[in-house]
Amino acid sequence: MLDYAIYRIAVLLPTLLAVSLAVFLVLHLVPGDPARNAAGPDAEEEDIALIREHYGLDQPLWKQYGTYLVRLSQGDLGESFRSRRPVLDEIMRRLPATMELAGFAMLLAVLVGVGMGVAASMKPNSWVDDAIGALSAFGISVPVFFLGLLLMLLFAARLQWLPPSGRGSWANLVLPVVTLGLPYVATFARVTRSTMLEVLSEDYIRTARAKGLMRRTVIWRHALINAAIPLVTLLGVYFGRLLGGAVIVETIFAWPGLGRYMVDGIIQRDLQVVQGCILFFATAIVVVNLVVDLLYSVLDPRIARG
Amino acid sequence: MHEGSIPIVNAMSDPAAAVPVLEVSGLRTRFGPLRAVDGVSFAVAPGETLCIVGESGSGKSTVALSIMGLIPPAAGRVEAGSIHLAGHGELRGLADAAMAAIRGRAMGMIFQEPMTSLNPVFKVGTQIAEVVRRHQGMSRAAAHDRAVELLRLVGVPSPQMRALDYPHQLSGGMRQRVMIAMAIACDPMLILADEPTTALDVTIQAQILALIEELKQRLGSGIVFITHDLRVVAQIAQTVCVMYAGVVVESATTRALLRTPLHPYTSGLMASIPAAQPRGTRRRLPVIAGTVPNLAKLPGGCRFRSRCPKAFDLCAEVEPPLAPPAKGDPDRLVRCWLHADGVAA
Ligand SMILES: Nc1ncnc2c1ncn2[C@@H]1O[C@H](COP(=O)(O)OP(=O)(O)OP(=O)(O)O)[C@@H](O)[C@H]1O
Ligand code: SF4
Ligand SMILES: [Mg+2]
Repeated sequence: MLDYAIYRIAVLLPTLLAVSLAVFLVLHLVPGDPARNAAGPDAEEEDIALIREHYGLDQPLWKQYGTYLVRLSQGDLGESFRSRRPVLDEIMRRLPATMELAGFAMLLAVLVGVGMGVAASMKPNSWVDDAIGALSAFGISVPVFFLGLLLMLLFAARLQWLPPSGRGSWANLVLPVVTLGLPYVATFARVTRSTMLEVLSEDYIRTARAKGLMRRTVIWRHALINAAIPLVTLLGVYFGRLLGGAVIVETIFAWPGLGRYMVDGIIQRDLQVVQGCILFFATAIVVVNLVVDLLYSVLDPRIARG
Repeated sequence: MHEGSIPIVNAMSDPAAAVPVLEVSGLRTRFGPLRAVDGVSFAVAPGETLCIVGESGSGKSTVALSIMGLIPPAAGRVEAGSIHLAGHGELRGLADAAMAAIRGRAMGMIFQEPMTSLNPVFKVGTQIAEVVRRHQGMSRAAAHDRAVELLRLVGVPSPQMRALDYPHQLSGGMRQRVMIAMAIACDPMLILADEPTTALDVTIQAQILALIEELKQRLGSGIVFITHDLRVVAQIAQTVCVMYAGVVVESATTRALLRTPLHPYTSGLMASIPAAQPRGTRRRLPVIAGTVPNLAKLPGGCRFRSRCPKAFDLCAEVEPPLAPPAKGDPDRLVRCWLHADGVAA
């Protein structure tokens, strides 16, 4: 188990290196002059040249990447052209807001989605199953921005039950979390239903029943743990998409998190900010997938550990 | 409730059979249109092993699962009949929660597939301990000790260590021993074993049969042992029920049945035992020719007719009743016109 973990962490470094190179290349090869953008529309040519020199943008690309890597290794993501503040500091300042949003959305997906999936699998093709199926079809197919605007119009503008934007109280959390979480509630409900139906027909479930275990023990202990193994893999896959969704949701609800920071960076053509955010997101996804993989091997004793 | 209203005909020669642990009568179970079990009756006394034999699809497992209340409700249901368990009364129609309290405590079941019948994510000791925790309210620690003791009882070497293994770490034979340990954890009065040795190789088979026999002696339980192998029947059973297409076609003591099989189907089964066949013909007579009829639309008359070498006119018209043979042992039952009273054979 420990060996496996160490191995996985060792493999992480080349992965992150490749990610950093990809991000670097994409952003430096897109058309547009970052220095000119940073300087503003009515800047003098000398100022632009100065900026170019200051950020090393006049250097050859490989040299820029080298400098970038050296800085990265020191935990330096560069500084914003606009605010002149270190990008990492800005990211860290906004991280709690995004974590709060993504964390609660995941929690919602796991608790409500799995609960709905189990309920649906108990009585397949009943009205409960059909209702849950319809709800999850809606959840999966509705675009995030549309759902966000819909909820905002209904609960904030029309009914005025909840604040439309900003962060602070619990009430502020509700709309963004539901908007971000609903597609995952739907996905988890679906996957849980089908894996549960599969697991419930396994021989070992019949054994559990033959032992006289109570229905709830058979379902929540013997069946769900086995059904959870594929679900955990999903958790890793969907974490990346969740962060993508967070970018949209934060923008709709003016949620002061990382996603909005990145969108602002893009609008203002603030190269360092965009680069830093993407790298941060990518790292988060890679690390979460690692954790999920390790969790997987804890859940399933059949996976070789060593 | 029952007042012994059902005639118990098999095992009458054994005086201990007077108070059966299990009485099944008129059991009917269907999966949609398919009548998997179509009126089956038998009784098992304490310390008795009753074998149910028959080809694949004859309804043997369905009988056992019906007794346990484990027919998946989405697939089928027990339609009629009575299942009477000593000390617990009528089981048919009990709510699942009430059945759950009896399963694993008063009756235990061993399945055919040791490889898939244990939960892959729990240690085997935990899975055994669960039974006594559920039914005897033992603490976690006491239940674990009991699990280790049960593993030792079923002949698992170094039980202390094996209790901490996951199923995939054990061989098929060891897993079947674990299954047996779970089934007997609460000293059940009835053990249902559904082809428990079919998936195992021959030496392990013999060991498991010996173990089941030893445990029966020890616990004094009644055993319903399902198999399609008459050699196994000869080894362990006192009584035999031969099933064909959802009904019992013959029942007798093992000795009587093996010495003089009455039903043509039983004779066919016996001819298919390799050792019972004359040399040189072994390869040509592996099974009875033909297949089990479609249970969803059975034609009238005898169910075995299409495969019976001795079928005659009457067989196509009326289904023969299960009754004592016209000539011979009145304790036996056979479902064939050849042995019926007043019918010329
Ligand atoms: N869950 C189910 N749903 C539908 N049909 C079933 C189900 N279980 C059994 N059957 C049908 O009931 C009939 C009897 O099956 P059963 O499993 O009781 O036979 P068996 O005598 O145990 O055979 P085997 O020796 O193969 O185990 C078969 O035709 C089978 O296809
Ligand atoms: S009743 Fe007729 S067909 Fe059926 S087993 Fe007897 S002889 Fe054969
Ligand atoms: Mg079977």
